[in-house]
Amino acid sequence: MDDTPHHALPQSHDAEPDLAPPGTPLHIAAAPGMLDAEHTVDREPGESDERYRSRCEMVAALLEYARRG
Amino acid sequence: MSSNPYSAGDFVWSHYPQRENPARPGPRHIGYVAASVGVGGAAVVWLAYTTSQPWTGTRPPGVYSVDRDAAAGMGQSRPFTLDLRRVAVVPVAAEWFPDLDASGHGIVGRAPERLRLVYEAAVTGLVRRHPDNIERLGPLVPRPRC
Repeated sequence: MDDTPHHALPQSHDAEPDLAPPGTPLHIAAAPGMLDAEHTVDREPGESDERYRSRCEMVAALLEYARRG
Repeated sequence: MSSNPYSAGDFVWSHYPQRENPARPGPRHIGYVAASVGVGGAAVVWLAYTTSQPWTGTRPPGVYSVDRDAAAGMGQSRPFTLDLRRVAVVPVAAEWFPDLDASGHGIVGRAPERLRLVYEAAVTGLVRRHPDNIERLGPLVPRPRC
């Protein structure tokens, strides 16, 4: 558990003040269920088998988490 | 698949969503690419939060302070804090990455391999053991299940 609730980071501390304009279209964004689709992880140039597997395991963990809702 | 210039380990300019409006693009903000994946015909990035505000007190799992020297090695001029507990799942699109179509695609730097491994392990540990500690933003959600 997070035992430091009083140290939450400030919101967008170093944000630049150029908000995306209202009504900005969210093409892919309007796709609930998208994370249910099959995912692929590209192998990076020169990446070893071990590193690639490790990265894929992290993505699998993220997806498992995401799909639990 | 949509063109995706972002790889895990990149620090990139984004329109990081704010808590008040988590499914909409927010102000320009540097995010950390925790994962970059293809989904069907599109590309999706799991983007962790960064801030130049120093962390005070004990750092919980998933929060890392990067000092000035290390930050400089990752293309950033100031020390910063990386919070892997706060992630936005966003499509790779100009709405979310304002410099997507520019030279360099808004990538300001990249974590060295040693740190990428640390951050990867932290993300995996968080989602498996402390999922309640994760604050998830962004428009992409799984289809509701009945």
